Amino acid sequence: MEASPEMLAEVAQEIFENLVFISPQSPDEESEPARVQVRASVHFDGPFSGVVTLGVSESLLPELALNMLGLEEFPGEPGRKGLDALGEVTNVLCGNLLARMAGPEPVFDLGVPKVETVPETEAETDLPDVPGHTAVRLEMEGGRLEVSLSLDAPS
Amino acid sequence: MSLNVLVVDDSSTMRAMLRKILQISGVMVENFYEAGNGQEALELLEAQWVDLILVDLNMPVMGGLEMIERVRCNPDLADLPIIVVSSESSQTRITDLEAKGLKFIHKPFRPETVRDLIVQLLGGAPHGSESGNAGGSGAGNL
Repeated sequence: MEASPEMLAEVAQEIFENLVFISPQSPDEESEPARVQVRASVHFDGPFSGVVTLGVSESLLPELALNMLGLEEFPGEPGRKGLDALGEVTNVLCGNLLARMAGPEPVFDLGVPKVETVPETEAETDLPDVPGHTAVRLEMEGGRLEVSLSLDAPS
Repeated sequence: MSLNVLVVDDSSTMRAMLRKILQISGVMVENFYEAGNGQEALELLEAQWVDLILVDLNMPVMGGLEMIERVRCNPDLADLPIIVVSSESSQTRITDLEAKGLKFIHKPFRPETVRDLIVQLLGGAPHGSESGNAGGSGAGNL
């Protein structure tokens, strides 16, 4: 059971449009958006297991939170709101992606989102092309998204 | 009719979203309570009266399903209206939840979905209220 990059992109775009009210687009070859600097991961177990990861440029974090909350600006310090918003978007993305992949019947258990900084030492590279791993890059004004799905090898 | 609403979700963003949706949808909320997991919610329920719970499923410490089971086992809370708000997509699991008398809202959701379901659930008097308005005029006040 795998997901194509096109499926990842479709689900990501759907979630961003409906939850964050932004439409990410396919990368523009001429643009050079900031690299992915923060990512959230959600592990899942079920008929198949793995992890869904959503990485974004740090500059997008405030926008995620503000848009989800319908605010123009934060009343006070934003704190970790952007990171929390990223985790929640990843959680919703994972649940919806699994339904798209497996259909409406299978039951999956999702873990709690884990948010981490992407080390600078992870240089800008092409998306890995390894079995069980699917990834896609998208862009929003001001930054980049990377959505990936890594499936555990069947036990 | 004003409601005491408890939202249980480990995401502070989602809790704030639901609070805002309740505000803009015209649902009259007297007290809005928040909890970051099922355990916090149970502790809050020991101290506060609520008319409605909105709860996520996947949370640390104590998830939504366990929290719901414990609420249902408490005679004082057993018939408390509960809406599960989750990215859960398994129809098997959703059917199980609904068979237990729970309502379900799938993330991502439209604000009017939340409003309409609350009106449908609590169109009459809030849980435990002695003023039993059935449907009609009560729903208009939400």
